[in-house]
Amino acid sequence: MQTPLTAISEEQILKLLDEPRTFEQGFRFLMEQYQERLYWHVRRLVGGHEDANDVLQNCFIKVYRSIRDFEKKSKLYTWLYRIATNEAITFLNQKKRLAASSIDDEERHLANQLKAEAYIDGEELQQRLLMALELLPEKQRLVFNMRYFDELSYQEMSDVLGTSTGALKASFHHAVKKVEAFIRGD
Amino acid sequence: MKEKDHIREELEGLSPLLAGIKEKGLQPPRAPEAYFQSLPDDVLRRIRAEEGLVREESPKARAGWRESLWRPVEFLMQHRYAAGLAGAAALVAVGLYLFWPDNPEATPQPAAMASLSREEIAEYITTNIELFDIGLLVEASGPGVDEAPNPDLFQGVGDEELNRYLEQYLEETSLDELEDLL
Repeated sequence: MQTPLTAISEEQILKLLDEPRTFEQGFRFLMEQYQERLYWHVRRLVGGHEDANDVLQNCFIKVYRSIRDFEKKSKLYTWLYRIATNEAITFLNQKKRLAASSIDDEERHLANQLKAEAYIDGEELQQRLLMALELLPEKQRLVFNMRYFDELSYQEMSDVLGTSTGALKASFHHAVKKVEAFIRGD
Repeated sequence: MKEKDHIREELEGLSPLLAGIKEKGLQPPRAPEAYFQSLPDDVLRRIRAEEGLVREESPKARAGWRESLWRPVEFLMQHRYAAGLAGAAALVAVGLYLFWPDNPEATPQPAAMASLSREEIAEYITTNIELFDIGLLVEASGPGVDEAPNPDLFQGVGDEELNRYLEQYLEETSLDELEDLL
């Protein structure tokens, strides 16, 4: 994973963003610092690169226009993550992708297809995992991604999604069970 | 304990299979080459382009356009040009007074001229002011050009009209011409 040439702290970025003279430099550092983490988060949610690129660019444009509203009550990354998540959800809703694919409709078909394969290697397991995620309901997929891939604590997830930590735990557990069942072809 | 460890424990309890996949390390899909190098520039380019469009349409921008129009006028309002400007304004006002169709003291007009609108007359005077006998205009205006013009001269002529004619006159008159009027 590529990192910015010069590591710069959140405080330094915010300081640069506070001054009109250094605002653009600060914004550039912000993008360089967080773009990859946000990209993979968005990409896991929306699927392909082109869509992820659109969503991420929209996300950064929103950040550029509203960074002065950032109240520093949470970490900068949590705030950015929330914006990126909302952008991705808006994008998905607009495209009605989830409406076209529900776990009930497609799981059986894909699972049967996968059952026919005799041997599952590591790469295939990953493939199945990603396929299973595609079929999860939006909220469960989001929670699974945040916990499994981005390794956020339940509290951080709660800050982003505005859902109680208890509900998030339940959602993650359900998602894990569904993904496992899909991979096993149950 | 780090969050990573919490997650591993949680996953091992829920699904050893998923914990194992995660432990082996996932091969993420790839982003296009040099994508992350160019993304900040792409975003900034889009922001500038969108801001450029907004700036063109914003009320602030329209005010800016007016400001730029008034900049030469402000320049002419400096002390060195102010007297000339006042004289020119007085001449335009006198011209309007003398040739205003409603003015009972106005010079009798030929039939062709009577059919002209106020705007056409005003435009004619301002564009052809050099054709008029300045001496006569000054004499007709009563006080000299360096004194305050007779307020009666402006009866029936609104401030807006005067400002409009003055503005138009200034736009069409070079600095040299204004200085010549001094």
